[in-house]
This record gives sequence, structure tokens and C-alpha cells, in this order.
Amino acid sequence: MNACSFCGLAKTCTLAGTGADGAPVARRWYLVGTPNTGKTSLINALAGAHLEIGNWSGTTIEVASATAHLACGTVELIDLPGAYTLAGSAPDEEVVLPALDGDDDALVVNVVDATNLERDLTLTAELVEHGRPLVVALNLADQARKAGQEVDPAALEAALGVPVVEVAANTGTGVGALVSAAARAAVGRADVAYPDALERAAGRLQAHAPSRWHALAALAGEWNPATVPATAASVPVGATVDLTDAGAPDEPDWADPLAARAEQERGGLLASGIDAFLDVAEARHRFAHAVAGRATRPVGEATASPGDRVDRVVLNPWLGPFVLLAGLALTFHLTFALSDPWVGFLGEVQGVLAAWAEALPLPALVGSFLSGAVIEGVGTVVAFVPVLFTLYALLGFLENAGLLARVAYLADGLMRSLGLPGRAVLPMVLSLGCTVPAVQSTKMLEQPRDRLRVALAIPSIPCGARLPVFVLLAAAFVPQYAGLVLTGLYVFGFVATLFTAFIFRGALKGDTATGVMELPDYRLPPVALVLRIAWVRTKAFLAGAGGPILVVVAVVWALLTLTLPGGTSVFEAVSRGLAPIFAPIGLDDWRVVGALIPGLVAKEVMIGSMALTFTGADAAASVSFLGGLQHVAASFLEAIRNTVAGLWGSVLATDAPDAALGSRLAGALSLGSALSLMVFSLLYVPCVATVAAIRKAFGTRYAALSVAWQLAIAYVAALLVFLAFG
Amino acid sequence: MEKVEPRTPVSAAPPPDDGARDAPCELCGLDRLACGRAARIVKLAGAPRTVKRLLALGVRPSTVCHVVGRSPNQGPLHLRAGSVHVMVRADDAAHILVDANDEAHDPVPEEALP
Repeated sequence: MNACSFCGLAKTCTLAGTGADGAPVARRWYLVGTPNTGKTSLINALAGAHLEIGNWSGTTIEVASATAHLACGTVELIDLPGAYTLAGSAPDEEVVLPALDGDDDALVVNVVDATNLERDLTLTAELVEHGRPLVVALNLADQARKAGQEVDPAALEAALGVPVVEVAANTGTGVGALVSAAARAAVGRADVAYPDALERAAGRLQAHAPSRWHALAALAGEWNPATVPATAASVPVGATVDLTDAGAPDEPDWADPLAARAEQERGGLLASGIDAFLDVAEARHRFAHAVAGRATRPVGEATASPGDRVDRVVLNPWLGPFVLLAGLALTFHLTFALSDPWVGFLGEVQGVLAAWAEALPLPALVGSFLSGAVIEGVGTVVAFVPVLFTLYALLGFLENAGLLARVAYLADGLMRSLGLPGRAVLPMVLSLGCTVPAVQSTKMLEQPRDRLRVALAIPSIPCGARLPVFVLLAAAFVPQYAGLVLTGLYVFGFVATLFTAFIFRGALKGDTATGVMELPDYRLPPVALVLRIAWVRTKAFLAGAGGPILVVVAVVWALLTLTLPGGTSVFEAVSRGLAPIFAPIGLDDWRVVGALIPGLVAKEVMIGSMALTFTGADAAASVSFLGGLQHVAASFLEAIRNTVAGLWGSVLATDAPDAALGSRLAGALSLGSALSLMVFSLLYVPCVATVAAIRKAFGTRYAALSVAWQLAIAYVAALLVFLAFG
Repeated sequence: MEKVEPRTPVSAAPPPDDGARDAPCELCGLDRLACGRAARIVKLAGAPRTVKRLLALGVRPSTVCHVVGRSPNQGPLHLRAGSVHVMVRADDAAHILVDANDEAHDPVPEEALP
């Protein structure tokens, strides 16, 4: 047998399968800890490139998982969302307890932040009371030392009765020792001193509960055993772990009797003036305070936290709004400045591939399908890779660095007036560039209801792809007032966004985010990990949303390419068929109505469609194989140059409008029709990728609702504009 | 998982374990405390979810809470309880009752004030 890649042991390695003493050892390790304690860094150090991210079964909660291949066997690692308590009320926290309840083979790796030891030990106390085999990974001990606190793992181990290992998750230091210690994982003990009456009541309940924690939680009214869900045995998408055999039954035998007894005991305690909810929490905090006191000692000279000094500027009531604006502008700028050149490069590659495909000795229709449906479709999907990867990397950096919480703090007053949490400001700003990453970024909001409201509202914010359409029409119809019209469209878009958020505030059920949030310490996150997670998330998006995008692109290709027996194209026939519907809003020209269809793929495609129908098709340029390669190489170098140059340039710059097309449009449409077209283009479905992103995040029902809502408000708004100016 | 919402806590925490205090207790909401002030928490009330989160973060009865700052646009308060920095909306902070006369023994460090 080869030596284990982590602990260096060979035959004595006991982490997976059978221990040295022949005892079975857990094969699934659940990493549990409060937010920002370094769980994901630790799972990355343990499993490296095998990291995967998926939604927890039946939820939209993101869970990272990985398979660690030890020489002595394979261990599944599951990074559960950060939780302050096992009975957490936030959706992310709610998957933790069912995961642990539902897996009898679970081994819990409790990642504890040494700089916040007392707070984290209350969760450790709960985990000990829960009763799964436990090992504690003491992370960030070096940071604690810098702050003047030395944490003694041996003292913690003595107090908790479980192995405690100091690790540096960012660098992987101590990971081998943690793996070795996991073989000694134990149930542990927590001598929490509850009030006598409460202790007696818990003791009576414990005989009917799976663990001491369950008895106490039922007693405190934090958790109802009668509602143990079927999702107790869940499988995170993308993970190889299979928990289906290890799950708890939908409603175990002990649930109802325990619920009834807990209710009875709670009533008795209340009658004697004991508030179990508060007293359980208080007792755990006293335990954590005592253990933390025993396990820490002052060391060296404490240095003042640089975070406090940074907060004096960042969170200052006067400077804060400017810092917030600058931070949002920088995030927006970096997202698109770093990705746009590569979107352009991929477009050039796509163009060369399409030209090669057209030149292949194939029947014309097959060649057209290859270039116009397959390559165009794949190109449309792949074009999102740079922007999503950049966005995820930036969001990961902001979140792990503690900056996202500051954004939420500063924007909370403003966003609260819309009934949204402060963090919602970021998707709204990002949607000025591209709606797809903005929808993806709603995942950082705590409550599903808030995520959905924001995702339904932001498609009305004009994205960068709509700008060329506006510029073309404004330059053609109101050249002297083009700036004013463009500004008006952006204002109109934001008003529609606020209106949508307001409408769905009452229409959607569910909790809103609690107004309490930790402002974590500032930390420099490990760049490699942030990039790796960004890539894993980007892949997950492509896997989920790529299919629908390909289908829509293929349908649009068929419309544009296929002809009816009379010689009329299907595109023209469909456009003429739709024209009467759009006549009331001033759009009765089939060529304009037709442009709205390919506009579903991407808004800027509307211009190409109108150019085709108003001014005729350009001859397709043929590209030799060598010429194509040279073009791709030149585009690659240009993308690098543009990435550097773009950091200091505008990301919303657009090419000069097509003057010939503009004059044709000016001859075909009235001013009222042109303004109506602008408003309709502003508000109707942004693109198929946005719909696919909403579908992936919230399901088909809400994607359909988004499409219907956007079409409805676009039509009504365009009608009002046409009536006013037509 | 559906949870049973715990009832709103009605009782104050156990008396502070650092000795009796003679000063008259003047209860007020934490939102009324000026920036830079600190006070001992007497009672947590309000939405159960909020109380639960506050307890988990260490903002609990008998602890000393510092008001470090306030966000613009009538936004939330920036509090410090122990080593934990917490954002709490003003209307949630109004349900955290503190003894305004029980000024903290460990006031906010100068460098932590905005």
C-alpha cells in the first residue's frame, strides 16, 4: 500500500474504511463552522483540484464538495454553509442540521476561528451535544497571535474531549496532522452548566431524542422534531457523495412524542419563570467563555487591528457613501474591463470558425447550420465565460475579504426603502454591464425571496448590449438630443426596476433578510482559491444554462435560414404574422418586429438583423485556414493589449452607429415609433442567457414569469410612449 | 426544514455576575445610544429570528455593547460586542434594551471610532 498523500502513514492510516483497531471510520467528512472561518480553504487544501460546487438537493443553497483520494481509501468532503448555530434560521444555515442528522457515517470537522474563539466555541458546544464524531480544526491561530492571543489546542482538547489540531487552511499547514487526528475523532463532551430545572427537563427529554442537542433545541423551541424533513437525506448536486442510504426517515418514530413532551416541559419551565430559549443560549455562551479563557493566554504585544483603522474611513457616515460609490464603480469597471477584451477575442474565434465551416465541402444548409446554429450557439454560451469568471472572482474576493459586508452596511439604508437588503445594490449595479452575471450574483443575498425579487427586477436595467441599439436609434432620429434621450432611457429602466421590485414585494412569499449581520475582519483571501472557485462556479453555470441557450440560437437560425415553398423566408413570414400585435405601439414594419426575435439571443443582434432586412446582406468574407489562424493570434494579442488598456478606459463605449442603416430607419419609422422601439428594446426580455440564468437559479416557473412580466411592461410602456409622441 | 419560531423572549437575562449595581436602571433602546457610547444589554426582544441571530453573534443580555457608528441614510448601526462587530438595523436595535446608566467598563477604543 502506498503512503497516504496527507498524513504520510501507510498501513496504519485509518481515515477511510477500517481503522488500525479494525473499527470502521467515517467516509464522509462535513466541514462545519461559522462564516468566513476558512472551511473552503481547508477543503481546497485537503482535496485540491477535485473541488466541485452544486446546489444542495431541493434548495438553491450552494455547497462545495470534493473527493479526497487517500492511499488507504476515498473520503468525501462536504463544505456545509457557514452557520452560527445548528438551529439557524437563515436558509444557508438550515441545510447544516439535516445534513448531520441524515448521515450516520458523518464525521464533523469543526473549523474554528482562533481570532473569534469564544463565539465559535458556542457552535462547537452544540456540535458536541449533537453527538457526531468530531475533530476541531483550529484555523487562523497565527492571526490570533498577532492580535496578542495564543490559543492552546491541548487545553481545548482537554475541555472538549475531541482532537484539536492547529491548521493554516490557506497554506495547507497542519492538514496532515488534521487527517491523522480525524482517526481519533470522538463524540466529546461539553460541560455546559444549564440551570437545574432546565437540565432536569432536558434529561427527561433526552431519553426520547436522538441526542442531547435535539432535546435542548426542542425544549428551547428552536427546533420542532415533528417537522424533520424528507430532505434530511440530501445529495449535493455535483458531488459524488451518496447520502440516500444514510438518510433519516421522513418522520422518525421519536418525532411526535418528543414534540409533545418538549411542549409540555417548556410550559412547565415558563410557569416557573425559566425562558429556555434564552437560558440555553446563555449557558452555552458561559461555557464558551470559560473554555476560551482557559485555552488562551496573552502573548507578545497586541497590535491594534488594522481593520478598525480601515473602518474609520470606509464606514464613516460622511465618507462612507463616496467609498461605496467608488467601490461599486470599481467592481463594475473591473468586471467588464477585464472580461470585454476576451469576449471580443472569443467572438473573433467564433467568426473564423464560422468562416471555415462555411468553406467546408458540405451542402449549403449543413454548412449554414454548422456556422449559424452550432458555432453561433456555442459561441453565445462561451462568450459568458470571461464575464462570469471575472465576476465570480471579484465577488469571491469581496466576500472573503470582508468588503461585501461593508457594502451591505453602507447601502442598507438606501436599499431598505425598497424593502431589499443592502447587498442587493451590487446586482443592480452589475446589471448595467450584463444582466446574466447580475442574476448570478443574487446568490449572495441571504433570503430566497430577496434573490428572486432582485432577479425579476434587474432585467429592466439597461445592460451594455442594449446601448448600441439606443445609440443607433437616437443618432438617427434625435441627433441633437441623443444624450438626453439616452439618459432618459436609463432613468426609465431604473424606474421600471423599482416598480417591479415594489410589485413583487407583496406578491412573493417568504422571509426578508434579518437586519443583523456580522461585519467580519478584513482578510486577504487566497487568490488561487478564489480563482479556482470562480472557475468551478462558471463551469456550473455553463452546464446548467448552456442547453437552453443553444436551443434558442438554433431556433433563431432556422427562422432566419429556412424558406417557405413560395420563396418567402420563415423569418419574414413570422415577422409579418407578429406585426399586427405590435402595430398599436407603432411598430408595424415587419423588419423592425422581426429584429426583436434575434434580439432575444443578444440585444446587439437586433442591429445586424435590421441591417440585413433594410440594407441587404454583406458578402460573407472567406477566410483561409492559415489566414484564420493569423487572425486568431492577432486577436489574442489585441485582447491582452485591450485588457491592460481597458483598466483605464470606458467599459460602456460603443462603436459609431451605422449611418446607412440609421437613414433607412429614419425613412421607415416615425419619431414616436422609434421612441417606442427604444422603450420596448429597453424593457423586453434582455436575452435568452438571462432567462436561462433565472431558470437555473429559480426554476422554469419563475423564468416564465420573468419573460411574461418583461414583455407586459415593455408593451405597456412602449404604448404609452407611442401615444405621447406618435 | 420548517422551524418552530421561538416565542419572543419575555424575561431579562440573569443578573450580571459582577456584583450588584446601585445606580438607578434607565432602560432605553440601543438605537438611542450615541456613537461612541457603550452600555450593558438588559433584554433582547423583537423578531425571534433576529434575537436568535443576535444571541449567536454574542449580543446577549449582560454583555456590554458599544455603538461604533451609524450608516448613512438612516441605515443600520455598527455595534461591537466583545470582539465581534455586528450590523444591526435601527428598528431592530430599538428592541435591544440597555441600561443607559450602566456605562461599559471597557469603552470603545479610540481607534475604533469613526
